Amino acid sequence: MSRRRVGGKPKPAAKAAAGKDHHTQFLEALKLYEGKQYKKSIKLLETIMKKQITSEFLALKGLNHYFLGEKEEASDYIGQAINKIEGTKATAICCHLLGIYKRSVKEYNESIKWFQASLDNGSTNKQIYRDLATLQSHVGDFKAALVSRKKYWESFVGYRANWTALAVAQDINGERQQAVNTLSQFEKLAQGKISEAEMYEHNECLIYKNDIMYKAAGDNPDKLKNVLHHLEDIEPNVFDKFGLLERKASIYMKLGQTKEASLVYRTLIKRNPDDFKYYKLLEVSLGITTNNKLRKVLYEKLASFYPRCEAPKFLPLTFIHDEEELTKKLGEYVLPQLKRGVPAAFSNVKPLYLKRRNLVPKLLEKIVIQYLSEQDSREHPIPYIWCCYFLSQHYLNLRDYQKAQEYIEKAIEHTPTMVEFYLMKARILKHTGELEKAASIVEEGRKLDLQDRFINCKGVKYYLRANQVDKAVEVASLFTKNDDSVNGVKDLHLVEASWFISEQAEAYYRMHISAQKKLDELRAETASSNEDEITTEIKDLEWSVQKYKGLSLKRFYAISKFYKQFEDDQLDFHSYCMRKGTPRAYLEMLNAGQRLYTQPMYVRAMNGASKIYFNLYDNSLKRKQDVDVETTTLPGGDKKKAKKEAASLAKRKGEEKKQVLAYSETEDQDVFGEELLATETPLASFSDNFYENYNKQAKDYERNHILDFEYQYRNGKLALCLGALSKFEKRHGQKSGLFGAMAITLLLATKESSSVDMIAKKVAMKGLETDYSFLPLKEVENESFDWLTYFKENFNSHDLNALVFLKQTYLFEDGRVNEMILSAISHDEPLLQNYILQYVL
Amino acid sequence: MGRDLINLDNVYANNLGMLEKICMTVNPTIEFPAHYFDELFPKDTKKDTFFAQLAYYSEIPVGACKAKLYPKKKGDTYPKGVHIESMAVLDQYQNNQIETKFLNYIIEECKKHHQHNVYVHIPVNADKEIAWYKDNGFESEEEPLKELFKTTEGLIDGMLLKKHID
Repeated sequence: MSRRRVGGKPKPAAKAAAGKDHHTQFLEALKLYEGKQYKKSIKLLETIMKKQITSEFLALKGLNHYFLGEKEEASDYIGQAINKIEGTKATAICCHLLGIYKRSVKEYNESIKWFQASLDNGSTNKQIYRDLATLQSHVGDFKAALVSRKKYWESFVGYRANWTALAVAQDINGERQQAVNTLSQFEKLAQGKISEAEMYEHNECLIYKNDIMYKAAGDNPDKLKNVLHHLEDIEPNVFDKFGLLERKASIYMKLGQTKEASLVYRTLIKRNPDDFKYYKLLEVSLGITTNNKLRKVLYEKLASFYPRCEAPKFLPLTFIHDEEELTKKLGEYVLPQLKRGVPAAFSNVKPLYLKRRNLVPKLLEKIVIQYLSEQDSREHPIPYIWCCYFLSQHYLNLRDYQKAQEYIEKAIEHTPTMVEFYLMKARILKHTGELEKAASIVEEGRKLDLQDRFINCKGVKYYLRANQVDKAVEVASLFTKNDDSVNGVKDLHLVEASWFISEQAEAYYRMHISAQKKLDELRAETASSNEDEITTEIKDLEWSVQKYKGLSLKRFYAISKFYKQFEDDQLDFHSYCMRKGTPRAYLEMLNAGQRLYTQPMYVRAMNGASKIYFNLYDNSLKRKQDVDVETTTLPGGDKKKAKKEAASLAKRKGEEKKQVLAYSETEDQDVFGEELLATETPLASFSDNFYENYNKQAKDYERNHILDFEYQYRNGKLALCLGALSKFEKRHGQKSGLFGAMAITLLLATKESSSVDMIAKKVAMKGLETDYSFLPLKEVENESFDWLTYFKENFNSHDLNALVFLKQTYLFEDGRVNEMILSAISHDEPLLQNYILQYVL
Repeated sequence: MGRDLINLDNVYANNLGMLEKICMTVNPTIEFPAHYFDELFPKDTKKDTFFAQLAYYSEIPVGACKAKLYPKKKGDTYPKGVHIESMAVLDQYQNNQIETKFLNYIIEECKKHHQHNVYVHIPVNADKEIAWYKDNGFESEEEPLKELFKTTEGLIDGMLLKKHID
């Protein structure tokens, strides 16, 4: 949001002290600023300031600098201005200027403070209330926002936006009746005067009023009837017919008038017969959710009404029990699709593979194999290939990789020009752990159709999974805007392609681990010898380790920044939505904003970053311990060589830089994420960059308690660990492997020798004693107690996540934990096995 | 449907891979020259004229053909006219009259470019193809040309067939 005009008419009375001349000159400078003539404004200010320096001159100068893009000077002058002010005792204009500056640099709470101060110090500029309301809404202070909205509304009652804004603020604060009154009052005022162009806004406000009334009504039948009447009144003027009908139906349901409700649902189905939701609701309104016989009749009828629709054909498949009948229905559903060559035939029935795993897959297998055997590959090529494709997916779903491969090979042999088949083949290979081969197969398919964006993205993803980042970037760059950079990485950041960035981050992380492993091996081998070649190789590897780790973190952090950006972007909508009259969309946005940091992609990036941050922290602890042991670095060596090496490394860095640049270099100097890694306080950085926002928004049922535990454990907050543990236990039970792993870890943290704060230890111990007295609490100090055996005997020791957790605590004998992990994954698919072997053990 | 089951369409830079795939699948033994496919979309200014098409069976690419215009005679091997360089249809989709469609297309192009002869080079051992071309009005010109095709099994002689168009 750009700068707003500062108050039109400043008050001369407050200015007496500044001297009349200065004051008029200042006003002139202010005018220049408003006219965006920042340089001229600064010049004028400089002449005034030769004689006298006041906070408002400084503030205006700072603001001018800010809009010229000179951020440092700006913050310097603003700082000087604030230093001159005692508390918030400054002229109204000065406070206003400071408020604008603080808003521009996104210090919203500060901005609110200064805007408020401007008003308190006598500003008569009512516009401030609008800005204030916007900011208060943005920081979530809705109570204060209501006050500001009201003040603004009082001053400018002639605009609908202000009425809407007031009603929204009242609604958010739970003052529902007042909100309804506000909206009604405006409706009365505007009656008969609404132009064609304003009708959309009007309709939104009408249905919004109904929303509020509905929320306020609760289950009260009289009130609900009222809402219904209102709904009928406004019906001709409301454009959102779906919303209207859905509302109507739910009121009928609440009132118990199921017959009426079912009629409304039938109308909805008629309007959109492809929405599964309405069918379910119709069942509920008819009261037949448990009566399969009636359901079947219902869907048969609906299927004849809407012969081209999926829903009435599919839904019976979810409840018919009789095998013979189900077989018939499945065939009727799937075979026409295979005959037509619908690529999504399998995806359509996939939900049944989840819900009715014991029944549906075996029936479908029979049906489709039978059908396939009737197809001649020459006479009916289309059903033939799509049957093969279907069966391949079917067997992959059942984890029968060999058969899956057989069928997809058949399909490819028959028609080698079908891109989907290559994707499928690659997917099977991925599951069998052959990531490089999978990537090359997708590439083969991609080359068939270079303009297919979908397969392009898939190709990128498969390359990233195979740790071939350069190839991936090359392929991705075919579809990006690469104006001033060598590849599309920058553009992908600009368009916030988080799927790419997260995959890349994870690829870098894996490459980091591999490089680290190699480095460790090499170091161990060459501990004694000191050959030049090897030291260069070690140097190279050291750089790779560092680079991949930094880049990984850098990418994860980029995702976090997208979400912060979204939060910031909301700012504009606090006024925009009111002006456009879209209060319902506005409230939806607010709700989405409150769930922002719990979105899967954010959580994924956070989990990825947590591994790096925790590793940084653990290493810093280790370093502290080893500080005396490992003081020997390179033995003297000759300086020339070291210099040369440094130069060649710098050169290499320069070259690599172009490849990995994510932002323009003027914006961001830390291309390789080295500064991110250099954090002195990894835990605090993790919290600032990821965890804090998540922690604020995540609800108990969706929290990652393990992450909570790991974070708090490293922070030494054992009481919070205990909290995470007990929440986890409530959901997963006391036999769960992870519960055991966390409980043991927590218990061992209360050891006397552990470095955690005494009180924290006592609290944790007390908690464990009350809630989980079955744990061998007495053995804490017993050095010979075998915790791993105890774990094996008492908890689910095949829980891979639990074992990995134990491994990462470094508390137990590594070899034994590894052994347990190996036995735990012995029955898993190769993809997972490889991952564990390569990157965890 | 309103549309034929088989349709011909142009080859574009983006689906050149399809043409390549089909040619290679149908003729697994032939080793194509280095720029055999790329030359359809040359990077520098285009000199040669090509006629290339893909055949779609209900939107699946199943056949490909490529022919080149020789406006002037170029040695004994390449007399003036349109030369069919590849005509390939996936095994499972043969017997759909796709080749005939290709041939008709090439004859059309031939007429448009004021040419009177269509030529095709075929390995001497490809009896089925030779028979097909002969059925469609081609006649063999002269003696087989020595070692025209490079295959994984060594060099093979080629036969030159000609069809005259009025």
